Amino acid sequence: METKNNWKAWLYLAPMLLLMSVFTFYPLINAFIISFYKGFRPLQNSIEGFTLLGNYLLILRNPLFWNAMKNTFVIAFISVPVSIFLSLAIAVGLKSIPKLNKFFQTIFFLPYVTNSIAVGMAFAVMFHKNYGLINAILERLGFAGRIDWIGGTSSWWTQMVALLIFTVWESLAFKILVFTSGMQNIDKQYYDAAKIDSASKWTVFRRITVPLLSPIILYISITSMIGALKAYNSVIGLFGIKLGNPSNSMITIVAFVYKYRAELASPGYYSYAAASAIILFIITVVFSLIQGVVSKKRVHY
Amino acid sequence: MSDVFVINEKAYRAKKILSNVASYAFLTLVAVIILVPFYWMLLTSLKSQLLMEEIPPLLWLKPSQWQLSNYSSLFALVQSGPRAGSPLFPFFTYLRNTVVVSIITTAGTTITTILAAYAFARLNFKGRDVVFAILLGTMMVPGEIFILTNFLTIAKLGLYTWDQTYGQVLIAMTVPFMTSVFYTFYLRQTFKQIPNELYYAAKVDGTSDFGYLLRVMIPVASPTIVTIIILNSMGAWSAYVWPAMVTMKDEYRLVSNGLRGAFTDTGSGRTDFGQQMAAATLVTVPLLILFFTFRKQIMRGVSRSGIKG
Amino acid sequence: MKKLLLLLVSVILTFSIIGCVEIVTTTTEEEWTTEATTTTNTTTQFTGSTTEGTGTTTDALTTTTTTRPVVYGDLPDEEVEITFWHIYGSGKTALLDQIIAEFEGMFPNVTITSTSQSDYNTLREKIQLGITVGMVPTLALGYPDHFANYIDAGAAYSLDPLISSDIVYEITDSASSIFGETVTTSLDLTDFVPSYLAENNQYTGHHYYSVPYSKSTETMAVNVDVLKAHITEIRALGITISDNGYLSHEVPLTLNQLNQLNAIMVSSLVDGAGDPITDIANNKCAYLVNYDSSGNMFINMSRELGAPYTNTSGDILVDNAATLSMLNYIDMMFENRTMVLPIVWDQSYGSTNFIYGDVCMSVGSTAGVNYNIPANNLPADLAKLKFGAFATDFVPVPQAVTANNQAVTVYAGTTPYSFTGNLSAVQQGPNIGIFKAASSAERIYAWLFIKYLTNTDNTARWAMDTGYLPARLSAYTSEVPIQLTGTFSTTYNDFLQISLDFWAADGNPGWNEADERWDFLYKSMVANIARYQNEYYQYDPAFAAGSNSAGSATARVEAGYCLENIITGAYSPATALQAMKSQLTW
Repeated sequence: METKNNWKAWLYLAPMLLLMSVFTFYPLINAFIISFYKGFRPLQNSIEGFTLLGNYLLILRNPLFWNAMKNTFVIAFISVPVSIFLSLAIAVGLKSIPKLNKFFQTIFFLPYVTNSIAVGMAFAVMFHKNYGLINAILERLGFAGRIDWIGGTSSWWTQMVALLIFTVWESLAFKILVFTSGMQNIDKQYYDAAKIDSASKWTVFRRITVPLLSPIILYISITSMIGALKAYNSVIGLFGIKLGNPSNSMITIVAFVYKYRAELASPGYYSYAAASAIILFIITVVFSLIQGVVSKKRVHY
Repeated sequence: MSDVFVINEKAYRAKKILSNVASYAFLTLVAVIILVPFYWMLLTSLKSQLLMEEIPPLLWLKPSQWQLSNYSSLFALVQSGPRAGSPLFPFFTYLRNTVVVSIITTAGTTITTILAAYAFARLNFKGRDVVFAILLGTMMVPGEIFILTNFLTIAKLGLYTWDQTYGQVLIAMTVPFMTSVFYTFYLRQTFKQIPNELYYAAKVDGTSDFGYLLRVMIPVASPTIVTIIILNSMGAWSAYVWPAMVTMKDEYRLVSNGLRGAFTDTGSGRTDFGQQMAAATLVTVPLLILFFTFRKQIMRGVSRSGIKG
Repeated sequence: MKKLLLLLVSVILTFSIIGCVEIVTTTTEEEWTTEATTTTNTTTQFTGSTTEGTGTTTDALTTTTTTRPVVYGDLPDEEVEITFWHIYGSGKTALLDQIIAEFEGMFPNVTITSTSQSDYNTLREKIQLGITVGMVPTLALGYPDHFANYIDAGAAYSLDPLISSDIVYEITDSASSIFGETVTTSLDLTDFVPSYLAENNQYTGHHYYSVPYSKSTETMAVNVDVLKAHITEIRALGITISDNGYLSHEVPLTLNQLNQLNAIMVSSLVDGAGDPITDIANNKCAYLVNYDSSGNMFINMSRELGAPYTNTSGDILVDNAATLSMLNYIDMMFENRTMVLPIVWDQSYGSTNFIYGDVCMSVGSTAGVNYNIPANNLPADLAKLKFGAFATDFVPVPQAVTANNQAVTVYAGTTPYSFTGNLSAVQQGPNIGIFKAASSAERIYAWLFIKYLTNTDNTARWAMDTGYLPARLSAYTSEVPIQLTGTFSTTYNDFLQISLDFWAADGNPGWNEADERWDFLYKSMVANIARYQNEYYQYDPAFAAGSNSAGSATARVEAGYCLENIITGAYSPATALQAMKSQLTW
């Protein structure tokens, strides 16, 4: 690639950067500045002064924030690999079957068009202690003693498992779609060659499918990591605004931001929201940079 | 020799059948799990308020229990009062708004995304990785923190007024969402897979960068672009907070706004989930039609021409 | 340029109208909040306004006497557009639409645009964002904590000058449906339920920034059939109960009576998983009393037992011995199944479990009364009704004491807890108020609209239509019949009489099945209970969040979580209280 593309490149980026400066960078910078305000009241547009770390320290001293960090990281580090592996397996399965793959593809796309309120309701019912599908199946399989997954007497573990299942379910549709379309470009020759070498399915998957899909896998893993670090809707969908049992036990960082965002009339609240959003921003940037560096060696273009 | 071959062939076939069975079983299981909430939406949309309240929830309904009035009442007209004759739930108004917003946003997003993805994938410029990292970074900020500032911007631009016009509303609802780092990143990955040889060949032919983008990159990546168009156009279906904030009149709002508030009982504050789900199901139909129509394009993948792999 | 001119003209016009109206009353807005008595600077203002529509107030200039004679004024006659924001979804606004249409018929130059903002959170956020850019509606619904926010931001308009104004306006527009009549902005506050008023002027300076609109309270639904089965034992406790199982509707049960009833009416059976179940054979429920709203339960029990909760200055007071003692008491009551919250069934409301016979009594909002009637909510499988389609009655919410400020010892089982008790029942539901940004003409008409919306007839009509309660006392004695269905019309007084007759006949009124009184029986019951509870309604002090403590809305939510965390066994009372405190103060 040649190097003298500077001005041209910026020209291509211009429409996007222009819009983003107004509707993304400006509010982001604004949030950054607001995070240093003391006693900011958005309705009156008044402040009591500035504080360098006051809002940040207040957040870091809040045990709820650390609870949110813990939950967010558990969600991100479990749901992302699991959902990637599962959707890859599904995509491979779709490719291997001779018939009905259009039918299955259509079904796998349905979560994309299903109303989120309905999804939340359905999952809440599935996980119900006394009449949920999951406990019914477990009982069939011989596990005595109904588990309270998300109800009043549920534990952090069962709630997290339910949340992870819900999160993975939600993210499957898009991943399956992207992997399926990605795999259709893998040249048949590779698989034919593998067949002649009588390589096992697992070897084919590891040696051919994964490397050739690596740009897409990188894309998916970075974006879903970002999505997982922003987990909020799934928590609300499953637990409501109480955020788990006991209250706030399933809180995530974005849910933490939400707690303070809407209190526009009260002094300082919006600054806490802004500061916690900035903290999330920094965490995620660091993660993406690490992912980018690590993957540079492994992604094949 | 031929004997051995036959045996191998047989064993191979048996193995093949076995693995097919395993694949089908696995896919069916996943399909069932994925279908449950969709089934639940349909089921709930057919439940009367009474059956909604049942403990444990009814997992299936006899046709005689179907409450089809959940659907028909969506098209009912106000009987009396000053709004007599107008629809109880302005379904078609919301749907039209959603389609218009969806088309405008998607058109804008597609253009900005293609241009930006091209720059990131093909052009080499100073600070490329830094800019890309920053853009990725913006994805990580919860968008809700933008609402206050963006609302003020929209108001300053004169788009939020008492006599707000449809045009102003459309600008306010679409322009802030005409970019997508998510899809830029996706498209960049696809663009990157297009071999450099094509680019150099085009250069030799004297094709400009833009011409190359138009004539080679876009056609080659068209399945990905179609995927982006489809997925992006669905955004308007779930948009809720922002449209509620920037619209002055009820008739400017989108389907999700209609879905949330309209079915809560004034007195008890309880939601008529049956009606709500009926509306949700109806709103889903256009998306399904869109998906069925373009399924081939979406599913075709990036394979057709010139891509290595 | 054109726009600028238009703006200029409208500014001038607005000013001239303000001048016109204020001429007759008095001076500037700020002074309005004090009693309006003098008219010293009227002349200067009058000469200042020369635009059309101001010349007709000459007679007002003569009103300089100190006794308050009838003061005539003219309503602004230009086209006025009023925006009204609420949360009522399409299809649920028929009555509101009708009232608006009637009002527009009375004032043909006024157009009211009512817009639903789907839910209270969106409504509040939209108004708050609107305040930052000067785009708020003329009037809006809201809870007291919303108005506390608007007042803090200087956006709410004090209604005092309108309420105390002496001006009488003649309707001179011949197109008006009340042509030739007079209207006034003054409002007789004594006609409102006193605690509603207290809620609406609780803010700094005790100005009215809103008036009560759609109010409700809690009452307790009881399973009459189960009560009837234990009638001798109940009478042995000294509790009044009729032969058919109807308790007193005026005298509330006491907490100690609930504790005693526990031994009679609560089952000791559990299912395989150890969850309490109903003992059908012995007419005993799994639990005695369900409380739908855990937040209301915390707050109301705090008041009943004299445990500090919050105050109007926005202090969070829960960190004290009385509150902890109250939580210990409630914990014991949860433990022995006297009290329960819907969360144990993973429900938001306990009404379905009440109908199914899992719990014998259920405290809930008067607005949700119909959900507690088995006959109106029959499940597909009738076997789910453990006591069949039993008769439901409504009684007042249980109290700790029978008079205010009494020392009381409440027992959970045999464990005593001592408190200073008070009578208390919650009042809830939105109020309605006007914003400062509105022009003077808009304010007057918005206020006249509020007055019309909350007048005796309309408040009664609204109450019978929705299950809310009338904001005005006169509604209870109103003689004006209101058409409720195509064939049924009644005055509010007769509406109340429906359940009084029913109770007088001990549940056998002898009405035939088609009698439309059946349809209004239960709404009538709770309306009567609400009236008896009127005297000890308490409002929840409303305040915005401070720099190191949360607002009243958050406090209520956390209070509810506190009890839920206790009943589920997640936290001990002390831990639950600390968790609540850490969420509310820092």
